[in-house]
Amino acid sequence: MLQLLNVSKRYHGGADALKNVSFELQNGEMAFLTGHSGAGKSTLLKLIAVLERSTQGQVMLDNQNIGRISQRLVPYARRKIGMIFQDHRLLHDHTVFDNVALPLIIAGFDRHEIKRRVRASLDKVGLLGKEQRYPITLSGGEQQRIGIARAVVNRPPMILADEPTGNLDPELSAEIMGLFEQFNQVGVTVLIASHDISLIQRMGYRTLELSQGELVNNRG
Amino acid sequence: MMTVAVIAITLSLPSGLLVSINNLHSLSGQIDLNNNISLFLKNNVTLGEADALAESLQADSKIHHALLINKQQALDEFRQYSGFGSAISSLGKNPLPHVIQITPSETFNNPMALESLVNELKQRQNIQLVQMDMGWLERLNGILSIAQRGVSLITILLGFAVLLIVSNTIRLELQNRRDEIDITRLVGATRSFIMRPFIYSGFWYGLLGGIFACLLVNLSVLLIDGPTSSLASLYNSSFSLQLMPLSHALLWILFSILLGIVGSWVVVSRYLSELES
Repeated sequence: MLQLLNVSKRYHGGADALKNVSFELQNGEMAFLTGHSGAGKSTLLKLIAVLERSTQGQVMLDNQNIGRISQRLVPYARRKIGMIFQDHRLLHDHTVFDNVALPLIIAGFDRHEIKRRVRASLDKVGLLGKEQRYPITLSGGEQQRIGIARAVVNRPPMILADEPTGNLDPELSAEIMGLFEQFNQVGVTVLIASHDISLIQRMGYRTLELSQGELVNNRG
Repeated sequence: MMTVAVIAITLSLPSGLLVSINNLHSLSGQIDLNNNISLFLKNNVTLGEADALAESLQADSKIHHALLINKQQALDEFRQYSGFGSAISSLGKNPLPHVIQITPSETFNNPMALESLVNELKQRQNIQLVQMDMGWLERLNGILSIAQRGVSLITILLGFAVLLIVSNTIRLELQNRRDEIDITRLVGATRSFIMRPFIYSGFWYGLLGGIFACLLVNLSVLLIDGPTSSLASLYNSSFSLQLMPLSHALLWILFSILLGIVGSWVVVSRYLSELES
């Protein structure tokens, strides 16, 4: 599903964010990406989401070198990835329903199909019945679940989560991680960036550890 | 809404000027040019020859009416009105030529045709001088064509102004919706998907601005029309101001829409290019 080959990223000014990183995620695999702040986690996620381009090396998603595709094709590559953020990135002047429906509207689904899929997605994250609420009226955990519902609503083959439990207490964190496991069980490839070592260890999945831009650990 | 008002006012200036010029044009065409052309015949032409010439001119389709004023009549008139009566009597010989006064037919009542008629008359025998004061008409038309050029320039300048107004408004909208744009980009929105609502705003600004500009101009015309008509009636003219023709109004609205779309397109595509780089 995802393959990085000798990927390096150097920012203007000469700072190396990533140095010669290579790894591969199989279809349907679930893995954690860990490391201290500034180790390069965010940069790596940005390269996979084509928010930035690598200086060297290849980023292959679904057998496509997304680091080198034209800007015009970037949106279509992004639709293969459901992205989840620590700060949720929700539209606060739109209802829960509209937030979750956004990827489907962009992809041009018809109204009936949008309604069906949004409800299914909200059902999965346990927010059915709150479609017409505004995100701000919901708790932090619930807001994160809106973000997750939005990420999976168009059934992408891969989920990318950046510190999805960063602001949540351990109990809610475990719930959110449980959701990711459920998606993984139905075949979705999942990559979660997190520095919550104890949680990661408890869950026992493959862990990729970055340190100063280098992949120092790749435990299966 | 402010933007629409500013666009309307901005565009109403050139379109209003154009309407004024069109009205002046139709005024200059409507004026009964007083264009009696005076033909001063040569001194040796007899009354009989002059009569014959007047009759042949009367038969010409380009000429509505030809009136012979013979030299005796002219002298009598002159003596009566000039106050030089005794001086003229002492002259012994009549210094005045026969004159034929011509009123051109309706269809020739425009400067171009009149000029060709004058040239044609000059070719004739027995005619010493063809006189018609159309200098002022030429001058008026000259001024009008300068004004037209001026309006074109103003239109270009104010068109740029409208472009900037729209761009600025769209830029503010972009800033207000920055988060929304970022998020839609993250979930795979194409450039055109993001641009579409802004292009639509540009379109609406242009459409409404254009419509209001035309309304403003026509409203002004209606306000000025009353006094103009009463002024014209003092000159025995039935002249009244014409509103902006529908075709012109549609063109102005189209122009305004174009400016709205181009203005927003430029700003949004530049903004997105910056995000993508």
